[in-house]
Amino acid sequence: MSSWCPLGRVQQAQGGIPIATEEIDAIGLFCPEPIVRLGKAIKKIEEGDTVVLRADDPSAPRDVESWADISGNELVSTAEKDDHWEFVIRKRGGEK
Amino acid sequence: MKKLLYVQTSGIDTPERTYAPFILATTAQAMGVDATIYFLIKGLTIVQKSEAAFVRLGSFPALSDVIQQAVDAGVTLYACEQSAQLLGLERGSLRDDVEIVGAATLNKLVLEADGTLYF
Repeated sequence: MSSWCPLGRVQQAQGGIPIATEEIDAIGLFCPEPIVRLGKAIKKIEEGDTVVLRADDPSAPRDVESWADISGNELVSTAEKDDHWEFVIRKRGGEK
Repeated sequence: MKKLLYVQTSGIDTPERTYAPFILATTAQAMGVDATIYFLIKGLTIVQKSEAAFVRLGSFPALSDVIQQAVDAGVTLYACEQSAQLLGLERGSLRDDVEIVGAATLNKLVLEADGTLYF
């Protein structure tokens, strides 16, 4: 069962290992802000933890993919919502 | 497949700088080289709908025809829409065959290209 804490981090039990999820609301923000926030968030978490990024900048889908590819992190999923995209990114060890 | 990236920062106010990336990219595709053109700053004006139709230089075809030739050859077109904000232009109104991307994608393209030319 997930539980929210005031810092926007969610602790989920998955196979007995706690997974921290950082949430970023970048809706209404334009390039490069969603990527800059994603980069900051990924630095705060441990390898294997995830970040959920919500953004509506039209450049976001391709840029998140580019960012993940170059930074060596994993873009787990991209979901198209009514008025924004929701990206799930998992921190991976080290850059390419 | 080798990759070439053309970065177009010049716009339709300097028409003599607008043709070369399309001609080079079309030629690259014919050479078996993957070609991408990235439009930013004033370069954005080239891929705004209807603008290129009014650009024609010397005995060259209209710029819009040269763009179409590049697209038909398989050249990928990317644009930085934030440049519109920088220039005080209306967002949107870009050609349908141009994909809106941003800073992360331009950095990736430069890192992964075998060569990058700036116009």
